[in-house]
Amino acid sequence: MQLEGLTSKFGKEFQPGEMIFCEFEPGDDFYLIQKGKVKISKIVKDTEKTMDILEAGDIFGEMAILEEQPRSASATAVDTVTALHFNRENFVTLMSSQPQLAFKLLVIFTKRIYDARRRLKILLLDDVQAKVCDAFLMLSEKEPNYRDLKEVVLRITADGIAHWCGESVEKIQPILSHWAKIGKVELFADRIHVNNLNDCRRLVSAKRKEKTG
Amino acid sequence: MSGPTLRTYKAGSIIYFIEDRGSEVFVLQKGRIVLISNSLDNATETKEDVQKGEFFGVKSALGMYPREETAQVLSDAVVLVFTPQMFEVFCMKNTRLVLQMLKVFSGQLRKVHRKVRELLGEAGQQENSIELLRTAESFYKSNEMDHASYAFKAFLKNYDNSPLKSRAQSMLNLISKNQPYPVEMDSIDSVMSKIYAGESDLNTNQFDLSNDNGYHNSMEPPPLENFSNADHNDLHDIDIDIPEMDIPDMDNSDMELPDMDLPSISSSSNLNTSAAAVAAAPPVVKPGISQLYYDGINEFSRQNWDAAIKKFEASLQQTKFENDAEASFIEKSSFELARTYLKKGDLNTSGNKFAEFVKKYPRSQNIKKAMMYIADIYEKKGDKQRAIALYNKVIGMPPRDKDSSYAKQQLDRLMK
Repeated sequence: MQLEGLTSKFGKEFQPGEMIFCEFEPGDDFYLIQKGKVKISKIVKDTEKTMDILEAGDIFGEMAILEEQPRSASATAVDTVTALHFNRENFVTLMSSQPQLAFKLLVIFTKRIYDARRRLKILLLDDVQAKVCDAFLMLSEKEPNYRDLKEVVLRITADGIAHWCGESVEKIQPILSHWAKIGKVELFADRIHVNNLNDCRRLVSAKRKEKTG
Repeated sequence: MSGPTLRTYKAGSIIYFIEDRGSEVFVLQKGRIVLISNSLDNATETKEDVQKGEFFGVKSALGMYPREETAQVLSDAVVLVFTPQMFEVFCMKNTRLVLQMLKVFSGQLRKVHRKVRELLGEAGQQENSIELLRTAESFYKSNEMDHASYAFKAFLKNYDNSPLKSRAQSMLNLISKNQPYPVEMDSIDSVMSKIYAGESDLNTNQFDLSNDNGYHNSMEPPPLENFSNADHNDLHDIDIDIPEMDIPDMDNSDMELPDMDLPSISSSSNLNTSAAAVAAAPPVVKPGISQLYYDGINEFSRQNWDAAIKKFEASLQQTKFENDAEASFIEKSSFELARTYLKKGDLNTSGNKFAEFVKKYPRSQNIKKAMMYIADIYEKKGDKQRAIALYNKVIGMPPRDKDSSYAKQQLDRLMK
């Protein structure tokens, strides 16, 4: 089936400002943007925070095809959006007729698997300080010269670090404050400067070895 | 574009090491290759033979991340090597293969997500309904009427049995009349507390976990009066005639469960937050209370038990607090104080402190953990029956989460 045929059969249009799905809403479908922009956001302390702006060619809501979990964020049309609408029923039809979509999804899944496994590695550490260090490392690994990197500026706050560690911010904040006092990190409103990544590498490695005994 | 190339490897050679970066995808044609990987916690090593005709190295090549296994040649081997571009072209012509890989990858993804959720003890279905309603109300408070309307409708569509249905319906009506958010309305937590209080004399059967309609599971744990077959006052007898014994190092055993985030609006039962207060600016926490708590946690993490106890006790001396945020530090200090005594090895005091915590904060999110600590202390004292009664009680308390699973494991162990 050609793309035009798919659009007429599985296409959906959203008006500027229209909500596509809401955070915590159950859902079992996902979308491929054909035209327009989509805002991905979350409510944090009664305020909407934009997580990402997606464009034509991007896929969103794809976790719904795998899991019966509610949406982890809201999706809203920024301008007029047309999108292909996938669900369990039309998934194989769409993928078979559009191998480039299937391949794209394959790449997305590999990245998601890696990210989730990487997060799991942090959560499996018992020591909270090691968890914080490993979260620093995980966030730094995205830097192209990670292996030689000795210090890094991370665009994240204590809340974000707490999220990656699966801990409350009340537990993470004092650790960060203490490290700021002794010069291991510098804390800013919107970022954290980690002054010695090798310290983090050593601690995480030691704790992992300790765990394996 | 040329096709994949053939490459031969001698027995004993390594095609790639774990953590290497590489973009090639391989298919085994002849010989024997094994993939050696470590579990995520490095505890176990797995060896898996590559079958003839099977692809390997796909995920790290496509995702452009480090190799997750070492590929070692066991007997002379011939492999087909694809560059990423070649592999993409190949996939375009073999949709069936891509669909098969999607199936395998989605299975792996589902597995790893399940594990993450287990470790985080994330909210069950019932909490999701409340969070959806909170999201709807947040949009409403921000005058995002269309979004609020969408979210209220999604709530009503998906959670028809919720006790908060009428609240959602009335807010939707107000939105249709273009009315502002009703600041005089009680907060969601307050409403849930009242609903709960009206049913607080329910027997345990009414907390049946099989009732998955989004309400019973969402309720806070039952009040102490319902909490044990043993009278809760018994908990205060915990310090009599306890022989010296080895203190279990709970933090190094399976007993330790990571603390969960407090909800942004406290669910503390004795603090009925008004909608006006919720809608207003975030509450200001006196630095003294939070600082003492943080200092306590700091000392705890350094294993300075006496210093941690001093900090937590000082925090608990702060009897005057003006809002939920302050109260939450008092509650948390109370829990951590009991844990610190346990770490210190003072089983009796720890038991008493946990008992005080259970009595004072029957709706704390740490209630199950506190009860399990007490159960463990009972067991160490030799009072298996009370330990069993407490684990049973925890199992019966909604929501069903990893604490419930842990309690079940302990119960099964004790019943053997």
